[in-house]
Amino acid sequence: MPPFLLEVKNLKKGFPIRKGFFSRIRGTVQALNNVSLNIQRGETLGLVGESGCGKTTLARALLKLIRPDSGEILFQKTDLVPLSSRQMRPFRRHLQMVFQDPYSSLNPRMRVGEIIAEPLLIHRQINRSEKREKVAELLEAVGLSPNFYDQYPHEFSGGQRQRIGIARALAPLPELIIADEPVSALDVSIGTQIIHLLQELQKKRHLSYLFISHDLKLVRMISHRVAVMYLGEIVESGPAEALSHPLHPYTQALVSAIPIPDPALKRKRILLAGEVPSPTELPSGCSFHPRCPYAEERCKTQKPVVKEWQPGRWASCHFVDKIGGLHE
Amino acid sequence: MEPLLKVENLKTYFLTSRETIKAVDDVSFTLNRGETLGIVGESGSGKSVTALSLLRLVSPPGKIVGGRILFQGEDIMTLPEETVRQLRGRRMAMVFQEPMTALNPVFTVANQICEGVKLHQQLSGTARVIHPRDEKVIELLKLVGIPDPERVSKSYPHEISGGMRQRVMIAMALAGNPDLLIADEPTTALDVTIQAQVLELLKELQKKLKMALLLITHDFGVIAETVERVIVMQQGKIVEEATTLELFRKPEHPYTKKLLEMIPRWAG
Ligand SMILES: Nc1ncnc2c1ncn2[C@@H]1O[C@H](COP(=O)(O)OP(=O)(O)OP(=O)(O)O)[C@@H](O)[C@H]1O
Ligand SMILES: Nc1ncnc2c1ncn2[C@@H]1O[C@H](COP(=O)(O)OP(=O)(O)O)[C@@H](O)[C@H]1O
Ligand code: SF4
Ligand SMILES: [Mg+2]
Ligand SMILES: [Mg+2]
Repeated sequence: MPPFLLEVKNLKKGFPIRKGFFSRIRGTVQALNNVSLNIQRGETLGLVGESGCGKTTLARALLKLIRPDSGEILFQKTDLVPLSSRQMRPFRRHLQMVFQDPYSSLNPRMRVGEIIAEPLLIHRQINRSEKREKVAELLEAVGLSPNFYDQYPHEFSGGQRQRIGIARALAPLPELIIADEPVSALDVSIGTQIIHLLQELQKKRHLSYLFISHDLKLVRMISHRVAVMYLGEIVESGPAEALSHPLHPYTQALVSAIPIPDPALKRKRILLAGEVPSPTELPSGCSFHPRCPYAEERCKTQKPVVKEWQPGRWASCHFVDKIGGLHE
Repeated sequence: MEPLLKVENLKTYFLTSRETIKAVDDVSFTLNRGETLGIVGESGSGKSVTALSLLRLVSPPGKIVGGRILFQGEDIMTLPEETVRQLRGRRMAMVFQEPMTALNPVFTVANQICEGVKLHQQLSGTARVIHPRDEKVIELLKLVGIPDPERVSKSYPHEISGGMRQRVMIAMALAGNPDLLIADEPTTALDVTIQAQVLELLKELQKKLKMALLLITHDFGVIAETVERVIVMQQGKIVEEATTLELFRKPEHPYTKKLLEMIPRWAG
């Protein structure tokens, strides 16, 4: 197997909770709790989970926009965690991000051309005279007219702005693009076009993606492999097709919660009890036990380890072999 | 039998100095007692404005410029404001898309529900002051599946989760035993596992209380699993109306076909 482009090992990040500005720390939000994952060159890893489970925190930690508490982020075998922001600089251009909100993620006072050229100038990949030509090329690559160079973000629709965001991410020729809910703010028809653009760019440029979304259907469609996150942990990962017979009870519930557009189909839903607990008070044992329909005594005290149950299929649950998914 | 709701040639426009937006443009449909009807369409197609028009809640520059809305035989358009206010919440109630904006941040959950209950009881002649700890509030919170109703009843909206807020909204809507519940994207802001809980709850309550349900959504999955009949809206107009089974089996209008074709890609 070729070496991984990105390999994340046991990443942890907690946010201290304070009441008031000067007061003592009251506890921690454990946003990332031992996250491990890897991405190969040219591959899309989908990361799916409900709001607050830690997806954006992971994205920000991978780009070193926030400092992880512990763990490793191996990018082409170099650990980024201990690097200073100066030492990070040569790696920055290889790791780019596309954000959820196409309205707030572009500087409203900058012209489109400047927005796209900015990373190129920072990384000294072009000089001023090459700017226009390079930007025109990028605008075309994302399906926009080169004439947009002098316009401002507010003159564009949500879908067009997201294309501008993608052009900016593509500019420094990155290896990996982290897309955090890139189509959640868009209508389905516009979102679909953006997805097609991302797929086409991946083929042409051999890009790797970490594609983050709360939408399991979408993640399954775009990803080669999928990782499922719950309360700051990856509870299951495996090939995208495997989501049709999940190993972990949480993934099963997620899959079964999706409304199916087929009125003739009658099925029994797995309805989870209650809601996601607060990450300030992580449940003992298996974090999922208060909501898990299969939980037994052991789950309250003993934390399941992540195991590879079938080649490439990992899950952390004591009872994977009982629950099914393996034999379907 | 007379339909519960009969909308005839409804037109709701936004009249700004620059332009006239025909948000709802000649819309007609009926809804029978105890029936479930869905309105589906893309963003901006006029779904929410249709719902607001039924309750006469459109605010300027929006205006109902034409048509009739017959609810239990009465034309809502010609009723005095006071009568419409009494109708809202009692005989027709609404659950909105964003539960946070629809709840009053300075009142506890119990107080918000009480306001509703009190009003309805006054109207039905049984004037009795309701205490926020009254069992009616707790009963309603239990009905919508809130686990710790005593605690939640004393909480303020920002202290409970989005899923809970949506349940509270539904409890408020149900307080007056409405004949018609209008739910505008009631689960769009929620996580998928919570969305499933709230949709199951709506379906269960609709059957149990024999209410008519008008459900607005852009999600064909939600339509397929919740309603018997569907209206498809595009740019303020109804382009197709059919039973849910028919609509999925053989959509007639090119726009419906286009919308349906987009689904499988996302469903993978
Ligand atoms: N207060 C307003 N002023 C001007 N135009 C408005 C106003 N409210 C709605 N509109 C317009 O009316 C049309 C219909 O809007 P409506 O809110 O009903 O859409 P919708 O189908 O509910 O969309 P969504 O799926 O995004 O909720 C749109 O063109 C919208 O821009
Ligand atoms: N800067 C921060 N300070 C404190 N808590 C935070 C901060 N950023 C995120 N969190 C908390 O960490 C958890 C994970 O958040 P996030 O990564 O944004 O989730 P997601 O993107 O999956 O919705 C949440 O409980 C959130 O409230
Ligand atoms: S370990 Fe127990 S509680 Fe956790 S997912 Fe498995 S069965 Fe459920
Ligand atoms: Mg996020
Ligand atoms: Mg709406």
